[in-house]
Amino acid sequence: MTDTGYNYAYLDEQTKRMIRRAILKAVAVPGYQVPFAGREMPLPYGWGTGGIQVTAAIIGQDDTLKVIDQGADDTTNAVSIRRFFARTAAVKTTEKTVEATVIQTRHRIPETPLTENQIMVYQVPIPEPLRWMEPRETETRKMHALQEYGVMHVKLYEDIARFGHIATTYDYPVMVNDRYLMAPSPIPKFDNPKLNNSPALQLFGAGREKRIYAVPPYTPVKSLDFTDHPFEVQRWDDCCALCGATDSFLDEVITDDKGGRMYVCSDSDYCGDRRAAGHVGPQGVDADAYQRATAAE
Amino acid sequence: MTLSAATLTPGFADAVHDAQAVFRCALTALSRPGQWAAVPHLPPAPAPLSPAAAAMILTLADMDTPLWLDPVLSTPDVSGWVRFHTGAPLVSLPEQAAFAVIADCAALTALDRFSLGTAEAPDLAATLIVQLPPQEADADARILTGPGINGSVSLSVSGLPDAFWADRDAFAPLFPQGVDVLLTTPGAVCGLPRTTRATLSAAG
Repeated sequence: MTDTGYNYAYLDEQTKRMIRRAILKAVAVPGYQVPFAGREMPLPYGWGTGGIQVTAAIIGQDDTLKVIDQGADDTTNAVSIRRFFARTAAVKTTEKTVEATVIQTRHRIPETPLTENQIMVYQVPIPEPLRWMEPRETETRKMHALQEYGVMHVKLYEDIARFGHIATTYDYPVMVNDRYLMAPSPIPKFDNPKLNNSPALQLFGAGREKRIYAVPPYTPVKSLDFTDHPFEVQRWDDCCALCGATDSFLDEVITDDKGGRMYVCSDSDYCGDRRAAGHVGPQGVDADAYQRATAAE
Repeated sequence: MTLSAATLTPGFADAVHDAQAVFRCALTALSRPGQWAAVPHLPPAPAPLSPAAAAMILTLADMDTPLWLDPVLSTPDVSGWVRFHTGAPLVSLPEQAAFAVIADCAALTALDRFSLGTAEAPDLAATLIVQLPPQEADADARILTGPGINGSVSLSVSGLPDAFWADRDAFAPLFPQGVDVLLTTPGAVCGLPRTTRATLSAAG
């Protein structure tokens, strides 16, 4: 059902034009945070107001929208945003990465490789990577202008001094096109390599902080590191308990109060596709047995 | 300046969805420089404004965007059309413009007439909407590289003066300052953001 009380995709046309202009400038200066006049959205800050405004400005009737929250299509945030656009923008929605033309995401990049026909929209809480070191916007703006990013290297070095390795595991800072330091949003650093040279256009929206930034397709995105402490992604000794994947980002799930735990793919579509294709993990059941069991319920 | 109803041509048939589709076309153009994208909705623009340039104006300009029309386009019909459909303030000086629409490509020199933004706010730079003259078959090919381009792409465009390309090169060290360009033919658009580097093809 489509709601008729609002303009298409909820935002009024003048707001969409303003956001669209900000998106074009963000694409023209990769990694630079373009200020925009963020609007109040019908959900609280922190629930993806920035991403929703970007999606509302770009989405059209021909699009197919996928929304993921921590990799999953069936969590609260993902379900409510998908319903929001199904109702206000009359778009098709999907849980399949390969079917989507616009993918709004909170905290993950799908495991399935993206294509040139897809646009990623990231929900961003804190767009300014330097904010924890320098609270003043006037200063961070100057630091970006002068490409003065020493403090970020000092922060990573302090990790090494204290822990022996770079302990930053999510929102891991990246350099875009060898010029702008950028917060990739709180994706695990496991996903950072997917930002680099992606065939898909990647847009980032921060609603509370009112910033939009972008990584165009085929743009170098390098995670900061040191020659003697090169960038590394997380690894697991286990595989996905359901589908047996060893190449995906795994969530740890506590299963009892005796230390029992299992690891499962955070990307629910990827895990489901693998199980449908016959991959079975140590605690999984094959897809046919699963369907028989759920049909019987 | 008076504007007669007879000379006022309409804008998009469907203001909401046409603007959305044209925006996606502009977004594709700027995020994949050097590749022509067909503009999906072409409004009946008043001459000498081209339909593709008119579509960009309808999609992107409004009362918040000072717009500069070059002398060829500064006719009562075009000015009136832009004012009526977008409400964009028309400015007389190029440096005041967020969008500059250029039909006289031979005069597209001295790009530093336009706003390049500042080092701290490069998003304030102008966007040039350029109407190319009818294209010649043996136009010089340029090899483009930069963000949005998988390796390199070849672009053949005629009608732009050498000074246009030289000025873009001269702005490269000023990055993030620079101007972004949307080249248009009557029905298609091609993006040249400030990050795109162009070199004359040795073969060309």
